Amino acid sequence: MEADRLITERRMKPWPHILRKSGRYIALILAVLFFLFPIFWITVTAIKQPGQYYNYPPIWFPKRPTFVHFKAVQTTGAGGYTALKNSFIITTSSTIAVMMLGIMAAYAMARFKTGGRNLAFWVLSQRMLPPIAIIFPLFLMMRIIRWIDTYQVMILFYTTFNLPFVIWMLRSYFIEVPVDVEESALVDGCTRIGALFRVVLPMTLPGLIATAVFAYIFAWTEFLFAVIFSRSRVFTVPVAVSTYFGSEGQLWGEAGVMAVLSMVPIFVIGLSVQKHFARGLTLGSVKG
Amino acid sequence: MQIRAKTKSWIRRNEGWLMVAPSMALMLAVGIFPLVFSLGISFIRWEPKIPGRPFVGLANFRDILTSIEYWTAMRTTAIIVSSGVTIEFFFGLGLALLLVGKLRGKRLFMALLMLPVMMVPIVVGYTWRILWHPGYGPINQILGWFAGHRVTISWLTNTKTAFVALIVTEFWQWTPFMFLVLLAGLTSVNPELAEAAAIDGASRWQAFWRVTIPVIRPVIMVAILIRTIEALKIFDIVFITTHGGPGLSTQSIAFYLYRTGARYFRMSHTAAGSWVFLVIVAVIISFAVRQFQKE
Repeated sequence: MEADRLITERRMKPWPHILRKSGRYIALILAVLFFLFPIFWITVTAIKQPGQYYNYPPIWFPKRPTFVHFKAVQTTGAGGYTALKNSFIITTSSTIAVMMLGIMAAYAMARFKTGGRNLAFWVLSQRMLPPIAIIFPLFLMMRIIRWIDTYQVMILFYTTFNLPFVIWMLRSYFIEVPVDVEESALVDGCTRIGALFRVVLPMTLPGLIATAVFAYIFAWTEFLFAVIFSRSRVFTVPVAVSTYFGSEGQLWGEAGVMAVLSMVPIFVIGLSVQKHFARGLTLGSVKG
Repeated sequence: MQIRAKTKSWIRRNEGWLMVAPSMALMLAVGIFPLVFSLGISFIRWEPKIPGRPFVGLANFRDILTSIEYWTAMRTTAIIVSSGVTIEFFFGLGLALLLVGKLRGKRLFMALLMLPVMMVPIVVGYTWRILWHPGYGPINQILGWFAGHRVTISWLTNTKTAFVALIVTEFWQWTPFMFLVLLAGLTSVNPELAEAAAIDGASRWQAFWRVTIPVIRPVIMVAILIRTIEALKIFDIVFITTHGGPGLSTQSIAFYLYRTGARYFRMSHTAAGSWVFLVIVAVIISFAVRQFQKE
C-alpha cells in the first residue's frame, strides 16, 4: 500500500517538482550568501596587511594573511584583551545572578500563581522601557554612591535588564512541568526547595540553559549602558570596538579582530541552543 | 518557640511573594525609580551652565515639543521602524516558507541564517560601514561589475542613501529574527489543514492565504510587536554607521536623547523628551495590543 502510494506520487511529479526543489535551494543559497557576506568580510579585514584595506579593487582573499592586528588590539585603542576580560567577568556574573533570581521568581509565578497575570504583565512591561529614558537618572544615582565605571554597576544593570526576559522564559518552561510529578516528590518527603532542585530544574534543564545563553548574549552585546557607565576602567567589548573606529582614526584591522573575537564565543554558545531560539526571541510566547 | 512556629507559618503562607520579592525590588530600584526620578528632572532645569536647579514647570516640555530636531528624530525613527519592520517581515516570511517542510540540509541553513541575530550590533554597524565605503568597499565594487565602470557612491554622506544604508543594516541583522519566529509558527501548523483546503478545490496560494496565515496570525502579531518595540530603541547602528549624519538627517530618537544628555548635558531636556516618547510609544503599543486581543 505504502509503496504503491510512493510510486504513484513519484510518477506524478516529474520535472516541475525538481525545478521547484532546485529553485528553493537556489533562493536559500542566495540568502545564505547575503547573510554571511558581512561576517566573511569582517573576518578577512582582520587578517589583511595594514594598508591592504585601502586597495582598489578591494581584496577578497588576502594572499599573505597577517596576525599583527591580534597583537595590536591590546596596544591601541582601549585595549582589546582587557575588554574581553571585562566583558567576560560582567557577563558571567550577571548571568549567574539573573538565573538565580529568575528561577525563584518564575517558579513562584508558575506554581503558586503569585501576582497572577498582572504581575506577569508588569514584568513584561519592564522590557518595553526605552533604556534612554532611565539612563541619566541612573547615572546621577550611581554617581552619588560612586559606582560609575565599576564591575558591580554593570553587573547590577545587566542582571536587572535581563530579569523580565528570564522570568518570562523560565515561567513558560515551568508551567509545562506537570504538577503531579512535583506533588509525588512532596509526598515522598521532599521540601518545596528540594522538589524544585531535584525535580523541576532537572526536567527543564535544556530550557534553563537556553535562557542563560540568551541572557549571556544580551549582556555581551549591550552598548548604550556600557558606553555611558564603563568608559575607562571596566569598558566592555562593544565599547572597545567603537574606540578603534572613532573620529581620531580608523583602525580597520584592529576593529576587525575585535569583531571576530566578540562573535566567535557567542556563535559557539548560541548555536548550541539552536532548538530554543524562536522561543527565546519571543519571550517564550512561541514554542520552538 | 511559639514565635518561631508563627514565623515559619508566615513564611509558608507568603513563600510565593518572598521568592518574587528580590526580583521585584531590583526592577523597582533600577527601572521604576529612575523613571519617576526622570519625571522629576523634567520639571526643573538641570544644566551645567545654569546655577541651581530651578523649577521651570512645563518649559522643558514646551522646548521639546517645539524642537524641529526632536520631531525630525521622531520622523527618522518612524521611517526606519516602519520600512525596516515591513521588509524584515516579508523577507523573513519568504525565507521561512522556503524552509518549512522536509528539506535536506535544513538544520545547516537554519544555523547559518541565525548568525546575524547573535552579532554585537556595534560590530554589525562597523562591518557595514566598511562594506558601504565609497572607495574601498565591496558594495560599490559589486555594483561596478554590473555598471561596467567604477562606482563611487558615498552611501553614508548623502541623506537618501544614508537612510537606505541604515535600513539595509537593520534588515540584515533582524530579518533572521522574523524568519526564525515565523518558521517556528509555520512548523506548528498542521499540514492536513492546507491539504483539506486543497481537496476542497483551493489552489496552493489560496490555501496559504485562507488557511495557513490565519492559523499563524498570533505568531505574526507577536513577531511584529516585539520587533517594533526593539526597533523603536534603535541606537547602536546609528551611533556607529552614520552618527546621525549627514547633518541631523539620520538621527534616531534614542540617539538624539543620548546626544542631548551626554554631549550637551541638557539632562532636563533628555528627561522631558524621553517622557514624551514613552507616552507616544505606550499609546501606540497598547492600541496595537488591544487590536490584537480583539481579533
